[in-house]
Amino acid sequence: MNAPFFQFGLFDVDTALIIAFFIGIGFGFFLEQAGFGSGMKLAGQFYFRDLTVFKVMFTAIITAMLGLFWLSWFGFLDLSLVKVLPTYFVPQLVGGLIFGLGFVMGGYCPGTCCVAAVTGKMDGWIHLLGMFAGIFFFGEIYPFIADWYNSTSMGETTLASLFNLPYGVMVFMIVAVALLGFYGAEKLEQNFSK
Amino acid sequence: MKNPKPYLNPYLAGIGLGLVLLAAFVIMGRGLGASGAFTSVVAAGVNTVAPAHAQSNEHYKEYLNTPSGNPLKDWLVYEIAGVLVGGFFSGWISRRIKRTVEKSSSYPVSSRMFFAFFGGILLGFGSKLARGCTSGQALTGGALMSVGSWVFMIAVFASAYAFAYFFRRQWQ
Amino acid sequence: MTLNKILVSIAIILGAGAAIIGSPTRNNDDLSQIAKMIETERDHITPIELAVTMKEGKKKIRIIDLRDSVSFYSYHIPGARLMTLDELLNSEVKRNETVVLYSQGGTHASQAWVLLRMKKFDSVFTLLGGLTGWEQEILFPVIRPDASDDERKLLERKKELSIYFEGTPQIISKTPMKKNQPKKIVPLQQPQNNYKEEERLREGC
Repeated sequence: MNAPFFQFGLFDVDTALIIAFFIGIGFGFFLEQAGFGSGMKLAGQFYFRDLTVFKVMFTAIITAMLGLFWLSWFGFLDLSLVKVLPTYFVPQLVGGLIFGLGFVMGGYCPGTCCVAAVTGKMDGWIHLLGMFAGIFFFGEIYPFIADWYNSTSMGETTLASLFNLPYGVMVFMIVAVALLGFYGAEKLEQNFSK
Repeated sequence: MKNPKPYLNPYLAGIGLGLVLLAAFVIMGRGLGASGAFTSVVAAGVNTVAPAHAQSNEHYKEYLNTPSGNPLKDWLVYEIAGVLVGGFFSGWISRRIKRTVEKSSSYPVSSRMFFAFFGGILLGFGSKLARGCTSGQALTGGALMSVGSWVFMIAVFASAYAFAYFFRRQWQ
Repeated sequence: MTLNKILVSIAIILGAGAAIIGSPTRNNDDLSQIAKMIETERDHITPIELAVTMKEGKKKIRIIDLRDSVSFYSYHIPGARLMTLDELLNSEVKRNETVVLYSQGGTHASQAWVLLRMKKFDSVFTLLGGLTGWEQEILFPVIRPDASDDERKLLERKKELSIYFEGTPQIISKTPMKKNQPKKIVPLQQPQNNYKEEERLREGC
């Protein structure tokens, strides 16, 4: 078998759009089931009240990461055809800091505010509007910051190649850190609920 | 009316999300996203109102030039359409669809709406700078161990914890 | 908590396994599978098949020339890229591309084919007869006037392809015509319309 299927031409662009829709349904479903349609639950993360965000995110990351590793090892998936996003260190760092502020202020992130909006949260709709405004603002000033936006480019670097570790060892380290994090999160929640 | 169902065990929800993400990798060779879809919508909007202006902007142009020529006929736009449907479906079967505003009970609605809007602006802007949001960078890039995605993720948590104090009345 | 414990155990087992294995890619190609492909002649493409596919331009093909640079610059199949075996193995050619390899006769191309097959390239072919075959079939096909009707159809087709690729069909009469070099020497170029550039990488989110 040859995966990624689309990269091997198993179906065309129009079919890909239909697939996108169904993948989106799965994505939205699990976001809502996790409780990410609620700003109170999401923000709880930042007051150590409810660490669901951390738990869900890291479980998803290690699930997909382990899946990629093993599917590749069994020869089912060609990892070199899965696009790794290129790194632009400083813009991504600054973007993350602004994003974090926006997250705790607004209560949602771009994916979760969609789920919040469709489940009736009015602040989710307002948040969505704000996001369009922010993106529009970025688009308008883009010509002035384009150079900086494209600076400190590191290409498609992975943590494994950065630390010069075998891919599998890096996978294991992330899994180990996540599991320790989950243990800590459970303890923390118990303490805060007392 | 029956009470809403409890949320799913976070680890099971995480595995579900991870498998959806893995399916995207296996089927498409790419991950999930959200802010990219909104950018397509913004670019399409600007292009409708002021085509010359949109075409002269490198950033909009990148989102306008899809293979089909229609900026909204884009993978992420369809994916987000699915998210809306999937989110609604999940809320519906778990009896969680309710017109409400998320905040601590004593906090005024007007302030909440102001911060929701202003936070949205920062979120939109930040996700553009970082070339992605929690879905496109943190989840997708995180699973692929992209350095920039991990930098972004750590920055998001660091910043959110640092500023959490100023918004405590809204959430506690 | 038992469910969580099961999940944790699975994560530890899969994670530790990954650490022990190290690399997510392994050489698990079944060699007999490769042998079978050669036996069933799924390893090559004929000059006519190649020419027809190129002319139609529907499918993107990457054509690799494995000869020396002097021969390459004097003539090569349009869109071909010059590469040594080593360059080919370390090139940016991806596993999902359709690759056609040729050398003068076919030896080098066959060797390159095996190497790429072992690297799990699924859609790689050698050009049957190499460039010699291409010259005989496409550039200078021999058109006999006394051909039967069935043969004539094929010859007409060859003639068409020959003209498309700027060759000279050889029509045998009593005095044989002199072979011409193809009129235009195709300059070195990136594969053109038959090879679509890869999509630009956009932000994933």
